[in-house]
Amino acid sequence: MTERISVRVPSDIKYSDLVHSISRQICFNMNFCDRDIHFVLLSVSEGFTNAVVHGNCSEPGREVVITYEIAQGILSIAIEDEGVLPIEENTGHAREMPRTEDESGRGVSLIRQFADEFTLVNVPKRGNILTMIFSVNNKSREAAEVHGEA
Amino acid sequence: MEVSKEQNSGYTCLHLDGRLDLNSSSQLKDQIKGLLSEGVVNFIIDLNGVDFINSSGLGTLVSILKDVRMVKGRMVLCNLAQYVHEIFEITQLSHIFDIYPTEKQAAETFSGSAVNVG
Repeated sequence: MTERISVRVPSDIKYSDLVHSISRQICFNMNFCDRDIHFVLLSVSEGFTNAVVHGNCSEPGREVVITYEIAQGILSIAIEDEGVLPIEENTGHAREMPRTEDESGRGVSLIRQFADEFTLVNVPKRGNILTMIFSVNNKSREAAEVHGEA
Repeated sequence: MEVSKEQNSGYTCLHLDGRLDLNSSSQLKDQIKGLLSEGVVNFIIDLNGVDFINSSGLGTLVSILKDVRMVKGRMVLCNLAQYVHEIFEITQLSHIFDIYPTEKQAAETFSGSAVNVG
Protein backbone atom coordinates (compact mmCIF):
# COMPACT_ATOMS: atom_id res chain seq x y z
CA MET A 1 0.00 0.00 0.00
CA THR A 2 1.28 3.43 -0.92
CA GLU A 3 0.68 6.38 1.37
CA ARG A 4 0.61 9.81 -0.18
CA ILE A 5 1.12 13.10 1.64
CA SER A 6 0.90 16.36 -0.26
CA VAL A 7 1.89 19.80 0.98
CA ARG A 8 1.13 23.02 -0.92
CA VAL A 9 3.00 26.13 0.24
CA PRO A 10 3.37 29.67 -1.09
CA SER A 11 6.48 30.09 -3.20
CA ASP A 12 8.56 31.73 -0.48
CA ILE A 13 11.86 30.51 0.90
CA LYS A 14 10.63 31.22 4.44
CA TYR A 15 8.59 28.00 4.16
CA SER A 16 11.75 25.92 3.86
CA ASP A 17 11.71 25.38 7.65
CA LEU A 18 8.20 23.91 7.44
CA VAL A 19 9.14 21.67 4.52
CA HIS A 20 12.28 20.63 6.40
CA SER A 21 10.24 19.63 9.48
CA ILE A 22 7.67 17.63 7.51
CA SER A 23 10.37 15.84 5.52
CA ARG A 24 12.30 15.01 8.67
CA GLN A 25 9.23 13.53 10.35
CA ILE A 26 8.42 11.37 7.33
CA CYS A 27 12.00 10.07 7.14
CA PHE A 28 11.97 9.40 10.88
CA ASN A 29 8.71 7.46 10.62
CA MET A 30 10.21 5.36 7.81
CA ASN A 31 13.24 4.46 9.96
CA PHE A 32 15.83 6.06 7.73
CA CYS A 33 19.18 6.21 9.54
CA ASP A 34 20.55 9.62 10.61
CA ARG A 35 22.81 9.85 7.58
CA ASP A 36 19.97 9.03 5.18
CA ILE A 37 17.76 11.61 6.84
CA HIS A 38 20.43 14.28 6.55
CA PHE A 39 20.88 13.78 2.83
CA VAL A 40 17.17 13.40 2.07
CA LEU A 41 16.66 16.74 3.85
CA LEU A 42 19.53 18.26 1.89
CA SER A 43 18.00 17.06 -1.40
CA VAL A 44 14.57 18.41 -0.46
CA SER A 45 16.14 21.72 0.54
CA GLU A 46 17.91 21.98 -2.82
CA GLY A 47 14.74 21.05 -4.71
CA PHE A 48 12.56 23.49 -2.80
CA THR A 49 15.07 26.35 -3.18
CA ASN A 50 15.32 25.70 -6.92
CA ALA A 51 11.53 25.62 -7.24
CA VAL A 52 11.10 28.96 -5.46
CA VAL A 53 14.09 30.84 -6.84
CA HIS A 54 14.59 29.40 -10.32
CA GLY A 55 11.32 27.63 -11.21
CA ASN A 56 8.90 30.24 -9.90
CA CYS A 57 11.51 33.02 -10.27
CA SER A 58 10.62 34.28 -6.76
CA GLU A 59 7.31 35.60 -8.13
CA PRO A 60 4.72 36.12 -5.37
CA GLY A 61 1.40 34.37 -5.85
CA ARG A 62 2.93 31.18 -7.14
CA GLU A 63 3.01 27.95 -5.17
CA VAL A 64 5.17 24.89 -4.66
CA VAL A 65 3.65 21.45 -4.11
CA ILE A 66 5.67 18.75 -2.38
CA THR A 67 4.26 15.24 -2.63
CA TYR A 68 5.64 12.35 -0.61
CA GLU A 69 4.80 8.78 -1.63
CA ILE A 70 5.74 6.12 0.87
CA ALA A 71 5.78 2.44 0.04
CA GLN A 72 7.79 -0.53 1.35
CA GLY A 73 10.86 1.40 2.48
CA ILE A 74 10.84 3.58 -0.64
CA LEU A 75 10.29 7.31 -0.39
CA SER A 76 9.42 9.21 -3.55
CA ILE A 77 9.39 12.98 -3.27
CA ALA A 78 8.06 15.21 -6.05
CA ILE A 79 8.57 18.98 -5.92
CA GLU A 80 6.45 20.86 -8.40
CA ASP A 81 6.59 24.56 -9.25
CA GLU A 82 4.75 26.76 -11.72
CA GLY A 83 7.77 27.70 -13.81
CA VAL A 84 7.32 28.25 -17.51
CA LEU A 85 10.97 27.61 -18.39
CA PRO A 86 12.81 24.45 -17.40
CA ILE A 87 14.90 25.02 -14.25
CA GLU A 88 18.14 24.01 -15.89
CA GLU A 89 17.53 26.49 -18.72
CA ASN A 90 16.78 29.20 -16.17
CA THR A 91 19.95 28.62 -14.24
CA GLY A 92 22.25 27.37 -16.94
CA HIS A 93 23.31 24.72 -14.46
CA ALA A 94 25.63 22.13 -15.79
CA ARG A 95 24.98 18.58 -14.74
CA GLU A 96 28.44 18.28 -13.26
CA MET A 97 29.57 19.82 -9.98
CA PRO A 98 30.62 23.44 -10.64
CA ARG A 99 34.15 24.72 -10.13
CA THR A 100 35.10 25.08 -6.49
CA GLU A 101 35.28 28.87 -6.68
CA ASP A 102 31.73 29.15 -8.07
CA GLU A 103 29.17 30.51 -5.62
CA SER A 104 26.18 28.64 -7.04
CA GLY A 105 25.15 25.71 -9.20
CA ARG A 106 25.66 22.83 -6.75
CA GLY A 107 22.02 22.08 -5.93
CA VAL A 108 21.10 19.69 -8.74
CA SER A 109 24.50 17.98 -8.55
CA LEU A 110 24.00 17.32 -4.84
CA ILE A 111 20.54 15.84 -5.41
CA ARG A 112 22.01 13.61 -8.10
CA GLN A 113 24.61 12.49 -5.59
CA PHE A 114 22.16 11.38 -2.92
CA ALA A 115 18.94 10.28 -4.62
CA ASP A 116 18.70 6.71 -5.88
CA GLU A 117 16.72 8.03 -8.82
CA PHE A 118 16.25 11.58 -10.02
CA THR A 119 14.26 13.23 -12.78
CA LEU A 120 13.59 16.87 -13.59
CA VAL A 121 11.06 17.61 -16.30
CA ASN A 122 9.19 20.69 -17.45
CA VAL A 123 5.56 20.06 -18.27
CA PRO A 124 4.09 22.78 -20.53
CA LYS A 125 1.34 24.85 -18.83
CA ARG A 126 2.13 23.19 -15.52
CA GLY A 127 5.74 23.70 -14.41
CA ASN A 128 8.87 21.87 -13.36
CA ILE A 129 8.52 18.55 -11.59
CA LEU A 130 11.53 17.29 -9.70
CA THR A 131 11.18 13.68 -8.58
CA MET A 132 13.63 12.00 -6.20
CA ILE A 133 13.50 8.45 -4.93
CA PHE A 134 15.25 7.32 -1.79
CA SER A 135 15.30 3.82 -0.39
CA VAL A 136 16.05 2.97 3.21
CA ASN A 137 19.56 1.56 3.60
CA ASN A 138 20.70 1.67 0.04
CA LYS A 139 22.94 4.42 -1.26
CA SER A 140 23.83 5.85 2.11
CA ARG A 141 24.78 2.53 3.57
CA GLU A 142 27.26 2.07 0.72
CA ALA A 143 28.66 5.55 1.25
CA ALA A 144 28.78 5.04 5.01
CA GLU A 145 30.89 1.95 4.45
CA VAL A 146 33.29 3.99 2.33
CA HIS A 147 33.57 6.45 5.21
CA GLY A 148 34.09 3.65 7.71
CA GLU A 149 30.84 4.21 9.60
CA ALA A 150 29.07 0.94 8.96
CA MET B 1 20.63 30.89 12.74
CA GLU B 2 22.46 32.45 15.67
CA VAL B 3 25.85 34.09 15.14
CA SER B 4 28.00 35.06 18.11
CA LYS B 5 31.26 36.95 17.79
CA GLU B 6 34.40 36.47 19.84
CA GLN B 7 37.28 38.89 19.37
CA ASN B 8 40.73 37.42 19.91
CA SER B 9 44.27 38.54 19.32
CA GLY B 10 44.95 38.03 15.63
CA TYR B 11 41.53 36.77 14.60
CA THR B 12 37.79 37.04 15.16
CA CYS B 13 35.84 33.86 15.75
CA LEU B 14 32.23 33.62 14.63
CA HIS B 15 30.30 30.79 16.26
CA LEU B 16 27.37 29.70 14.10
CA ASP B 17 24.40 27.86 15.50
CA GLY B 18 21.54 26.49 13.39
CA ARG B 19 20.97 25.79 9.72
CA LEU B 20 23.08 27.51 7.10
CA ASP B 21 20.82 27.85 4.05
CA LEU B 22 19.31 30.55 1.86
CA ASN B 23 17.19 31.77 4.78
CA SER B 24 20.15 32.44 7.02
CA SER B 25 23.12 33.01 4.73
CA SER B 26 22.51 36.72 4.09
CA GLN B 27 22.66 37.32 7.85
CA LEU B 28 26.16 35.80 7.99
CA LYS B 29 27.32 37.61 4.88
CA ASP B 30 26.10 40.98 6.19
CA GLN B 31 27.87 40.42 9.50
CA ILE B 32 31.17 39.58 7.80
CA LYS B 33 30.86 42.57 5.45
CA GLY B 34 30.33 44.79 8.46
CA LEU B 35 33.44 43.42 10.14
CA LEU B 36 35.50 43.76 6.96
CA SER B 37 34.48 47.40 6.72
CA GLU B 38 35.76 47.86 10.29
CA GLY B 39 39.14 46.45 9.29
CA VAL B 40 38.69 42.95 10.68
CA VAL B 41 40.30 40.60 8.15
CA ASN B 42 41.11 37.32 9.91
CA PHE B 43 38.30 34.93 10.74
CA ILE B 44 37.63 31.55 12.25
CA ILE B 45 34.16 30.31 11.36
CA ASP B 46 33.15 27.81 14.02
CA LEU B 47 30.55 25.47 12.54
CA ASN B 48 30.14 23.41 15.70
CA GLY B 49 26.48 24.39 16.01
CA VAL B 50 25.66 23.97 12.31
CA ASP B 51 23.82 20.71 11.84
CA PHE B 52 22.72 21.42 8.28
CA ILE B 53 24.19 23.23 5.30
CA ASN B 54 22.94 23.31 1.72
CA SER B 55 24.36 24.68 -1.52
CA SER B 56 23.19 28.20 -0.66
CA GLY B 57 25.17 28.03 2.58
CA LEU B 58 28.20 26.67 0.75
CA GLY B 59 27.93 29.43 -1.84
CA THR B 60 27.80 32.03 0.90
CA LEU B 61 30.98 30.67 2.50
CA VAL B 62 32.72 30.72 -0.91
CA SER B 63 31.60 34.31 -1.42
CA ILE B 64 32.86 35.33 2.02
CA LEU B 65 36.17 33.57 1.40
CA LYS B 66 36.63 35.61 -1.79
CA ASP B 67 35.78 38.85 0.05
CA VAL B 68 38.27 38.05 2.80
CA ARG B 69 41.01 37.18 0.33
CA MET B 70 40.37 40.43 -1.53
CA VAL B 71 41.51 42.34 1.55
CA LYS B 72 44.46 39.97 2.09
CA GLY B 73 42.80 38.40 5.08
CA ARG B 74 42.36 34.77 6.10
CA MET B 75 39.31 32.71 6.88
CA VAL B 76 39.38 29.17 8.22
CA LEU B 77 36.65 26.76 9.25
CA CYS B 78 36.55 24.48 12.27
CA ASN B 79 34.36 22.00 14.13
CA LEU B 80 32.49 20.65 11.12
CA ALA B 81 29.90 17.99 11.90
CA GLN B 82 30.47 14.70 10.13
CA TYR B 83 27.77 15.16 7.48
CA VAL B 84 28.67 18.80 6.92
CA HIS B 85 32.29 17.78 6.37
CA GLU B 86 31.12 15.15 3.92
CA ILE B 87 29.37 17.82 1.86
CA PHE B 88 32.61 19.78 1.69
CA GLU B 89 34.39 16.65 0.45
CA ILE B 90 31.75 15.82 -2.18
CA THR B 91 31.74 19.35 -3.56
CA GLN B 92 35.55 19.47 -3.31
CA LEU B 93 35.28 22.69 -1.33
CA SER B 94 37.59 21.07 1.19
CA HIS B 95 40.29 21.88 -1.38
CA ILE B 96 39.84 25.64 -1.15
CA PHE B 97 38.95 26.03 2.54
CA ASP B 98 41.36 25.54 5.42
CA ILE B 99 39.44 23.21 7.72
CA TYR B 100 40.51 22.28 11.25
CA PRO B 101 39.00 19.80 13.69
CA THR B 102 38.96 22.25 16.61
CA GLU B 103 38.95 25.98 17.22
CA LYS B 104 42.22 25.63 19.13
CA GLN B 105 43.96 24.10 16.13
CA ALA B 106 42.50 26.76 13.87
CA ALA B 107 43.62 29.52 16.24
CA GLU B 108 47.18 28.23 16.28
CA THR B 109 47.44 28.93 12.56
CA PHE B 110 46.90 32.62 13.25
CA SER B 111 49.81 32.97 15.64
CA GLY B 112 52.10 35.54 14.10
CA SER B 113 49.36 36.91 11.84
CA ALA B 114 48.63 40.61 11.65
CA VAL B 115 46.26 41.57 14.42
CA ASN B 116 42.76 42.58 13.37
CA VAL B 117 42.36 46.32 13.24
CA GLY B 118 38.72 46.40 14.27
